[in-house]
Amino acid sequence: MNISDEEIVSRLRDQLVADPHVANPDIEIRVAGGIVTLEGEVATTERRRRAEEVARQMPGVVTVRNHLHVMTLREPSHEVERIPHQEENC
Amino acid sequence: MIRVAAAADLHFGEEGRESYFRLYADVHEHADLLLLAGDLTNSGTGEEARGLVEALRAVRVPMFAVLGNHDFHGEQSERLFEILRAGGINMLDGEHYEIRVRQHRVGIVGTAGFCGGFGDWVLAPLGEPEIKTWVRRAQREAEKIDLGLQRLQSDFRLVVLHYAPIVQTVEGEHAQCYAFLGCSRLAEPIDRWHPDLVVHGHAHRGREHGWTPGGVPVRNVSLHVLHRAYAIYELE
Repeated sequence: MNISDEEIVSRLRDQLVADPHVANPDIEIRVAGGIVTLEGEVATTERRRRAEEVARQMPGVVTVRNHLHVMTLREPSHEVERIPHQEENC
Repeated sequence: MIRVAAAADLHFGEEGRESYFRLYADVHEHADLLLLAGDLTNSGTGEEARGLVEALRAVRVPMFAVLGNHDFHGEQSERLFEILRAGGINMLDGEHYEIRVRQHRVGIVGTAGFCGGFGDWVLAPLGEPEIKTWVRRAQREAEKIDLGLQRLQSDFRLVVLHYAPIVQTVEGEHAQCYAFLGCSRLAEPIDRWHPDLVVHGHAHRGREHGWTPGGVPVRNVSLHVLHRAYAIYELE
């Protein structure tokens, strides 16, 4: 059975949302000639690994390039933006 | 002058994010209130909502929040709303609040908003009933903002949304996604009433800074955009 690259993208997107260990609709998926590239941010290394595993198990996938990175947050202090008061327009 | 902290896309319940929440404990040292612009939970379950309430228990400033699409995912948004409200978070679905910060009256209006595209490409109510329903939802969300802002006479007025009201703060996402990330119908009441600040989330690959056509500052405060626990805006 031949599966097009486009079909791999849509099926994999659904799988990555449905898989409880990934559950991420924001992973960017590109497929060319059955080679899947995953990009974007995930919360843990485990989720990064699991997303790759889900992709590898998809029919039609030749190999997976996992470019996902794990998100980290900085401390918020000392970065303040000053915004001038708006005049009410009525 | 007031200081506003804002964040979105907390996705409480997603494994690995637990450590983020300790960063909110000292928000009172930096801001007078905290705005949470949707996707408070990851799957929209009551358990996640209760977990979020616990995780934010240490926050000592008033919190105002809207639900996001992830919060609707579990199809129990009304229950979530009540759990979060009972947990001390002022939940907004068209509601408006006015609080006092030192000598200033600060008004907050919020609703999730909806998608539908921007500018010349905004979805029109034409065709199948589902399309009309979609557009009607965006129109209703815009009406909530309009009504809320109309009622506020505060010194500072803030709007909290989940979906983006302008395309500028969505840019960075793939253009094919824009229509699902927000709707310029939401910007119409904003430009009618000129609040001081609008915050939203949802567009993880968007950018922080934008302005409505009428010049109102719009900030995408998604954690994925900020890469910090919250942004701080000083309104003067």
